[in-house]
Amino acid sequence: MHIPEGLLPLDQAAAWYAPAMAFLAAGLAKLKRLFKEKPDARPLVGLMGAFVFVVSLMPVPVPGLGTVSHPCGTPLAAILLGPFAAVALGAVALLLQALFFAHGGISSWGANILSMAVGGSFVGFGVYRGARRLGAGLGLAAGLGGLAGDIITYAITSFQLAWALHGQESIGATWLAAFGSFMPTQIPLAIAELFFTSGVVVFIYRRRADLLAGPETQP
Amino acid sequence: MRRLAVAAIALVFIAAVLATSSKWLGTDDTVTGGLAQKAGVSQTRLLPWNLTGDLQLFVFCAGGAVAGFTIGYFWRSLFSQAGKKQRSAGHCPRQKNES
Repeated sequence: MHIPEGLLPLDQAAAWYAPAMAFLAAGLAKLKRLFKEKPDARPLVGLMGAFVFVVSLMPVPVPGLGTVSHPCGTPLAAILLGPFAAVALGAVALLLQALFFAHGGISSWGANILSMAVGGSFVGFGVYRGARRLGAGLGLAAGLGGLAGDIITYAITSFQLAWALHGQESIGATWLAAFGSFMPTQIPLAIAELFFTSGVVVFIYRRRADLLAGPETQP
Repeated sequence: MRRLAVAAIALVFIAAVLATSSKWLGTDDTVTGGLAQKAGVSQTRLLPWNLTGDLQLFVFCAGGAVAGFTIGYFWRSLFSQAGKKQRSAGHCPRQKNES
């Protein structure tokens, strides 16, 4: 999810930027509306912004494999604040990481927004809502959202890399190779994100159920 | 009991990490770097600054500290008793005083 500078051809980087900026604009508009209608949502937005930034930057080791990778955090933000607001938080986190932490890049910011912020938020939120409608409990639904958001982020990143770097091979074969290489490290992290997302949502429901009471976050 | 279980899981995790002999490379580097190398493409830099040596450690520590303090500040206002009193008094952090 942190595609570095220079790996995407300029035309592809621009192609990822266009939808990413549309999602970001919608996300910022959603945040502005949220602050106006519900000023007491500010602490949760601040908390989730810092959380997404630090979690998606933190290299988590996978014992046994000897590799490290990043969780996403955007599925949890999407469950608590709605997917558009989570896109805005994820985009800001990715910009700070590209500017000051040598993770990602400016030319690849659009692509990284689409994988981690858009993909992680919308798929995580969609799976959460879908699981709730199918009768899953709050913790299970939130956990499945966290798991799905994490996996889809790396599926999209794999596609972006495959499209840019497939060379003589087919895009499909390169995508499969990239996704298959990410998964041994990412599946344990996605399972950890499942438990973490589930735990936080259940904790918030028990302590401050009103925080889950928005129109997009009704459990 | 729950705290003990969390502490036990954390200890097992730390022990397993310490027992694994590895260079602990990130998948962003290994997978992305491997594909780029195969395609004959290399990373570039648009920004004039570069994090070398312990500067990277400093920047990551500072970023983690700022994020941690921010999370703690807002966590307190959302979940602590002091935050509850402030909420019931109609005050929330970063809200402009309209008087």
